[in-house]
Amino acid sequence: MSAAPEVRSIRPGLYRVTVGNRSWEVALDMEPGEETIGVAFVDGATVPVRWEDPRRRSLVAAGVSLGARSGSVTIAAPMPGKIVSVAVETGAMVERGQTVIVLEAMKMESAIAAPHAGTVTDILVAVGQPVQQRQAMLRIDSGV
Amino acid sequence: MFCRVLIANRGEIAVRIIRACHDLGVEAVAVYSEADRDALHVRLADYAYEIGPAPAAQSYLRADTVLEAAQAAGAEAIHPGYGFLSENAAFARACAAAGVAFIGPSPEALALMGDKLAARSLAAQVGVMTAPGTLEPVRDAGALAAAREIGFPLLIKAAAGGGGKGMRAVHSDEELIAALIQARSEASSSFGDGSVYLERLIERPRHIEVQLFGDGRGRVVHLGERECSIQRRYQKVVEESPAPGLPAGVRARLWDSAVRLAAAAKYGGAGTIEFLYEPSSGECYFLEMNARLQVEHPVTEQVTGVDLVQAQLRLAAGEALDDALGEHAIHSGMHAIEVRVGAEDPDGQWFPSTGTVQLLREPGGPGIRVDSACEPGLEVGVHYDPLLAKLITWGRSREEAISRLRRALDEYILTGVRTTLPFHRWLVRDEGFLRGDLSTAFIAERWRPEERAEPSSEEQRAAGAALKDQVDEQRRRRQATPAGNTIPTSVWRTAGRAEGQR
Repeated sequence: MSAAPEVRSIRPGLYRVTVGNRSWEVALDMEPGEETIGVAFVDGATVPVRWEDPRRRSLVAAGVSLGARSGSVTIAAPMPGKIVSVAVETGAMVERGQTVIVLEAMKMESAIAAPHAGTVTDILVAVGQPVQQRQAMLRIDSGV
Repeated sequence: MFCRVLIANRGEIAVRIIRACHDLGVEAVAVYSEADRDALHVRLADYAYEIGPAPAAQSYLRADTVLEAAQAAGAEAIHPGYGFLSENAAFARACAAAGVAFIGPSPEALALMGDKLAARSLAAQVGVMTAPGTLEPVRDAGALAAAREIGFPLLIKAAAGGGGKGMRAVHSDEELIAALIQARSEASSSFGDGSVYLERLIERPRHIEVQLFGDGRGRVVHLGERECSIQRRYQKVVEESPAPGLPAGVRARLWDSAVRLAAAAKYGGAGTIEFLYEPSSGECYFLEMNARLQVEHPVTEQVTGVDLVQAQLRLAAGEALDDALGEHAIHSGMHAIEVRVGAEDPDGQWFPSTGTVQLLREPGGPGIRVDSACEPGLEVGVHYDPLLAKLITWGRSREEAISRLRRALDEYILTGVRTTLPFHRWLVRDEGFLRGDLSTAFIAERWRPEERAEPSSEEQRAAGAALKDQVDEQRRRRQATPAGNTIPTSVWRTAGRAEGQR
């Protein structure tokens, strides 16, 4: 790959990338509501892409702590649904993979697991409460 | 043949049935919820009736409104598809009373097969083995004793159930009561009936099912088997026919058991009998009967040459069973595979994903079929099943079917919602799948999204990076003003979302 890559926009989200006469079709899929996280499909292969978000940098500059920096993780609803149960209390220690919330969506109950071990710092939902997709439900601090 | 048939369904299956109607010169009547006003099935149909708001309970599940639409449209028959009203005995009875043909089995057969415990008893009567378990719904008091007798691990299943809903695996005494409560609550919210029963968990089984057609008077013809072992949470993701590497004796036993069971039930129409095959012991256990057309029916169609939906219509219109099925071959030498393209995130916990379909290019060419109701702009919401499309490929061998599948998946573009396509692209390159080493534990044992080696080459990665640079550059040019000056309120939401995704 010596020649410089060339990108041609076919239509929004669809591109042709060439290096010399080597040719790929690339589809770009952005996370809904996100401008920084996307997936490129290059001839069927998935290549994750991430752009820096200038707005986020300014948030950090303004002293707003963002999740990864404080060791705190917010568990958001992966889909719209209703809270069936909350298996932990504020202050509880949880293990990675431990069920913290059971969410009912599409008539199916799904156990939401802690992404890593830590202490539950906030419970933001109550049993029976409907939640939107990506709504924050619970916070866990890993203490790191 | 009928002149006009109402399709009481939506999505890809409604489109599939409308196509069969039109192939036969029959007019198709669509019904639709408010959310589906512009849906493909509505536009392909010859007549269309709005039947209520988006939630299925107020539209597609309303037996009375659907029947009224059929009568208003002058439809002589109703095809229920799968899901919704397809296995609703009361609806089938109401159709009969209104003089509209229900394209499916009799209300009696539906009631029998809908009651999983009654179906298990019937199997026992005709000498078809079922997994050891309770023959009655269990209550808390008796549950522990019954569970100990069956032995752990075991499964809690909904008596009125299907599709894995209300189902729980239990490995010990301590887990039992909590799991029972959860299974009951799920069963009653899904089926309006919270009764559950216990069954021994067969470990690492293969899920194999037999497609059949009955004439309602005791004559039953089977159309071979389908392997549906690749599942997550008891829901099928990939199906193929024939079942790879199945010993001939086992295959013959499955076909024979299925035919005997359906004949004893005097089953009429298309149906499927599901079994669990335990390779270690060679035993086959009857699981349940699905008294309807299955999602995965196309693999059988591609192998046998029978259009199952046309056959259903012909049979319901009064043709004899053999005429309705026409010429067909069980041992055609063909192999077909279907993958379900769902709006689900296989990297997360297969959670349904919502959004608007942006780019769409479905694959084509020899040996490829796409059953879909997908179009750019389609809103994928929360009200219905996340199935978007089915990709079916076939060939003269399993290898040929898989290599076409691999090629078709690489051509497939669908953006705007997360889909199961990345999983399928991994699957068709997985050693275990290629060997045909299948069990219902396949996904749990082999699928490691976080460790998934990207199937991309260095070159593909470079092409992705080139695109990223280009888009980056465009954005830099657009963002002439410093971002810090104008923090819109949505920044907080954006930050929250970014956090939630870690």
